[in-house]
Amino acid sequence: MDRDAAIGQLWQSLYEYDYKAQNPPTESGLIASGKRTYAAGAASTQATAEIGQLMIQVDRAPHVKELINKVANGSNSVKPLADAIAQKWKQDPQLIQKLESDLSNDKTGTLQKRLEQSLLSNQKVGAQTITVYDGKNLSALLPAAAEPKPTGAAAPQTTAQAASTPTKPVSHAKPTAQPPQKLVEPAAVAAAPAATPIPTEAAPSAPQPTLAAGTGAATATPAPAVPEHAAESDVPPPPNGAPKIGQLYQSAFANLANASDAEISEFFSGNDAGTKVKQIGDTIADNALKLGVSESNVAGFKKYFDDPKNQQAVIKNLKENPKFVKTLAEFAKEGDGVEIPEAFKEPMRKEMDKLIQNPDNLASDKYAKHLVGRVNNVKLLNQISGFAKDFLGIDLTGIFTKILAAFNSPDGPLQGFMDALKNMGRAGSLHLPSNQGKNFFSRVFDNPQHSMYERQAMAATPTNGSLFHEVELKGADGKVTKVQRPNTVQVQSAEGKPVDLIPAAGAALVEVRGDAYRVRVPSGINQDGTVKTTQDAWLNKQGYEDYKRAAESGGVKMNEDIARIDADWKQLREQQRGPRVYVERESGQTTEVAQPAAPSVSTAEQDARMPGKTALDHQTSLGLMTGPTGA
Amino acid sequence: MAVIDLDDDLDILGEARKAKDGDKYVIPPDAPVLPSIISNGRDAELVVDVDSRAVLIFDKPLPEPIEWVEYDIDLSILTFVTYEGKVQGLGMKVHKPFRRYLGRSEQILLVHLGEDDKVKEFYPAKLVVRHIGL
Repeated sequence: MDRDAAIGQLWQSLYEYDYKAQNPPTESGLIASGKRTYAAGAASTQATAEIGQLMIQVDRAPHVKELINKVANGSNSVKPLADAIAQKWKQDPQLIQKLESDLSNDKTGTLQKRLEQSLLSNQKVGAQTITVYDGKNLSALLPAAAEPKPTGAAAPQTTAQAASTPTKPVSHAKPTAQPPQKLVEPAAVAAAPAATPIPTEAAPSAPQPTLAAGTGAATATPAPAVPEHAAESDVPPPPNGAPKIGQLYQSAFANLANASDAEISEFFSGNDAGTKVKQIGDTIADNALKLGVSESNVAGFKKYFDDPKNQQAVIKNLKENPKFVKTLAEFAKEGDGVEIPEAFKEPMRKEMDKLIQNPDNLASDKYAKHLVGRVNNVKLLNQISGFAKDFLGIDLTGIFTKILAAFNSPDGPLQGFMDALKNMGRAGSLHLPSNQGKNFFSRVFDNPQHSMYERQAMAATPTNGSLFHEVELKGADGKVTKVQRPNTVQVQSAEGKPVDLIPAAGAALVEVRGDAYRVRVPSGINQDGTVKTTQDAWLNKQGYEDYKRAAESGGVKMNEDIARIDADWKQLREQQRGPRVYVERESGQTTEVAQPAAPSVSTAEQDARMPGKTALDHQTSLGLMTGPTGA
Repeated sequence: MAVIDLDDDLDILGEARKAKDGDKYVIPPDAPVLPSIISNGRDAELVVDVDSRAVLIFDKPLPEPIEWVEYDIDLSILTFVTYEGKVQGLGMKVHKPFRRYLGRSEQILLVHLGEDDKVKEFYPAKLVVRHIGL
């Protein structure tokens, strides 16, 4: 069998192990069936992640790799060996390294040859060597290399009998506790000599098998059972089917995100480097499709990797740019169900589109450095994700958390900058706008309580079944035009005057001062009732109750949890602000706008003012959504 | 003494110059220079505060992501360099009052603000400050 098929069987063994480790219920019924399906899905995901780690480890162990390849080439199946590796590796993650150390230290190579022969002559028996291997006893466990193939002699026969004895999977008492260690059970190895202790991890005090090296005295070999094929019937197939070989390579590749430079270089050395590079190409292509890059371009990109010359050029570049590999590995990880924030999908798609249309970039040192720089910038942004989420309405967690893990530099120079950004301009700032009317800075940085979340959480409530009404406007020329205006309810302001407000589900009560209630409501809406802009209005108690009744008429309650917003607002209010100086773009003339600045407010807002409020109150009540603040 | 009106003198180079005056300079499509940031209807606001924190907010996406920014104090200009190696000017003179603060900045936060007031993208770019003293 070929290498890919062997990897597939190794995945299957890990999957079966991980499934059993969850101790899913065996009884019938919908709930039990659901639990089994869940366990199978979880096991599939886990096994795919594990195979990546295992493949990387094997890749770094040339003797073990050669051994597995030879056994695979000389067999129709490596399932017994895969089962043994999966079981032992789960118990001892250093298994591959230990095995490699033993095999490489044996300069004569006889140890490897003996293990190889053992596996090729009877894989089930040979695989048990792996199961009982403790990192030191390999030689003692193996028959001599020079021995002829077993011809039904008593020694191996006994072990074979034990191994071939149907080994019923044991139902584990505790989920994930130590399930694999209980795969061996005295009852399950009845064919083994009764006096033979059964070495298991669960019973470490049990005497280890002691074989005289070279005697082939397998009669003394205990019968450590590996999961048998018979057990597989208890394991349902993965809900989404077994992963394709490309996904397994992808898992291995994704593991490079945290690998050292030397490990990356090793990964791209050896005869199979071309195959790996091709798999990387496929991985990138898959992710590009997910991001919306055109299928024809992706097909062309994949074709590029068929040419060995291109493969070699890419290999050379990847070996020379380990950070680039890590960046790509992160992309490979992103395909794993991580939701990419909407704000970054387009830039990512553009980046991917460039790469797909220019596969030569993968062989380009310049591009490698470019991509690393780009992702590094993104990583630094992650450091302010909390700020961004609260303040700007962007959730940067998820994808960037992963990227940060790979390029972790918490003391980056930007950290202080971003930490302080919340107070950007508070002590005074200098502005050079190309268009003074647009007030970009105010829209971004003023008044954090006007978060996007609040606005998005609002939706106008229909009044008399509709959101708008028509109004006839007479122009100066006498011409009458009809315009749509949002329906409003008339309520009392804090001063007792009537004020028209748009009722909205999700409108918020943001402050209470005595009998005065400050509410955040829409000041402009779209045709579908979503909110364009917001405003704050001060109402008296009656006004507030009237507004609340209208706003909640659609069945959605107003947001009256004012604690957080109020705290933010108070903090902002209490802060001393420095001057804002605007520089005229052509002349360079400066105009100082002292803070707080009186905003230009609508008549409705003026009517809604809280009596005795300061200019700062009014400014903060406008903030992000409601336009100019007198710049 | 007669006054010579030089404008009436023979202008043997005039034709060539006239022809040049009529030409409109067009940036070739493959030139490594992009139209300035405040062009094509894109507005921007450069802000720097007393602690030299700098932000550039713009309302339409830039054609290419910016890798670093150069502030030439002598020429009072900001030049943005993209990852593709192209350059893009701000399109506004960075007047003298900015020198004290921007000259001490180390990076500029680039913020793309959408029409709906959503911040579409933002990322920091390193700032290189040049002051030869011309």
